Amino acid sequence: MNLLVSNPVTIEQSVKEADVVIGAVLIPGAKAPKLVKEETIKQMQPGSVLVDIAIDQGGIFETTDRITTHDDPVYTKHDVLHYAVANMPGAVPRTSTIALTNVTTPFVSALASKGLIKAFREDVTLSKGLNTIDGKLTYRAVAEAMNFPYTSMEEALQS
Amino acid sequence: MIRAWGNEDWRTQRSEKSRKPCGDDATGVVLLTRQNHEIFVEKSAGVGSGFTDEQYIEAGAIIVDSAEEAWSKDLIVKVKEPVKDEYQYFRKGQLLFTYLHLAAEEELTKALLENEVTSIAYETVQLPDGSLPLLTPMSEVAGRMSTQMGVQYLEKTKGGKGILLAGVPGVQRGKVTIIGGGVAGTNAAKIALGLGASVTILDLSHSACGNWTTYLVHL
Repeated sequence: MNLLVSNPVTIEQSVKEADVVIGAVLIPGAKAPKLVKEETIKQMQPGSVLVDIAIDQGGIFETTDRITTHDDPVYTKHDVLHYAVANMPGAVPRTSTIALTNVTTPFVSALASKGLIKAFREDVTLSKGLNTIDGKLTYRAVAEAMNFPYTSMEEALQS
Repeated sequence: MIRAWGNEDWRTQRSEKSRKPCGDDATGVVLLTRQNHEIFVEKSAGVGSGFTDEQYIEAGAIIVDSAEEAWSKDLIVKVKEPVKDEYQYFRKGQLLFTYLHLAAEEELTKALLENEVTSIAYETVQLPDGSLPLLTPMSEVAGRMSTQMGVQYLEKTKGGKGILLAGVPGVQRGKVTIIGGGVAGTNAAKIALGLGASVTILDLSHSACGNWTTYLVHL
């Protein structure tokens, strides 16, 4: 296996010769950077496959122009197949549900047993997840994205 | 919006608030009912994921017939963000725990604020090291699945170039390039390597490559 530092040159070289390219760049809350140029994709062999996991954030392939669904997941551009399904875990709902439940259940248990205030006090990880309370928006990135007033969690919980 | 995997909608009620999703054979419900929480599951909520109402009942949950009744509980646990039809059930003091992605959902944000709902978004729950524990499993699923999709669409009948990623003795292996060495990329690589493909991973940082080496030793 090759581990390469990502830059425009290494991306171009390794994409051109690949049979499958997987876009796995996820920047939470931000648009994915278009790391793979159309010129590069044109040079791939016909019948190669691009899979973009970051598609719901715009995707990293310059040739990606739409999001697809599980019913019709693939389209072809420059003879290269583009798999661009936004909600990939939805194709394997049983695995996905169990995987998600495994990680959410302890938090649900804490909220149900202790109530919000005590659960937050004892677990900063959970409290980071607070988005709205009493009509106040307590998550900064969301407030900034929408130009809504932001209230810190501490302040919102005090009142 | 594309529908999520089977929409598990449970609402829990105790003297406080609670509600939750479920595991294999509704393990989540079992764990919560053992703590004396009352778990309400919306009728047919788990069918899409292969969980029947009977399984939930066996696990100790109570099935409720309508969304309205389910939303009347103290703690609402979902998968996907509420859709417009559900905004009517929002009310003050309700605790909602689900994926929300509010930055892209202005109308939903307004509805939560106006109705004074307390909401915790899965995707913003964050560990001290900056990682996102409630996003990780979905990145793992998508990462592992992405290699499978590559395998599938390389087949001639699917429009691909007609290559077996693993090759066979005497024939070159297929080449997989993975851009991004985070959770999703790591999981994509794990499956590609397991298949015997020739794998290249590109990541911005040298340290990610270092982590990789450590990771692969433990594959």
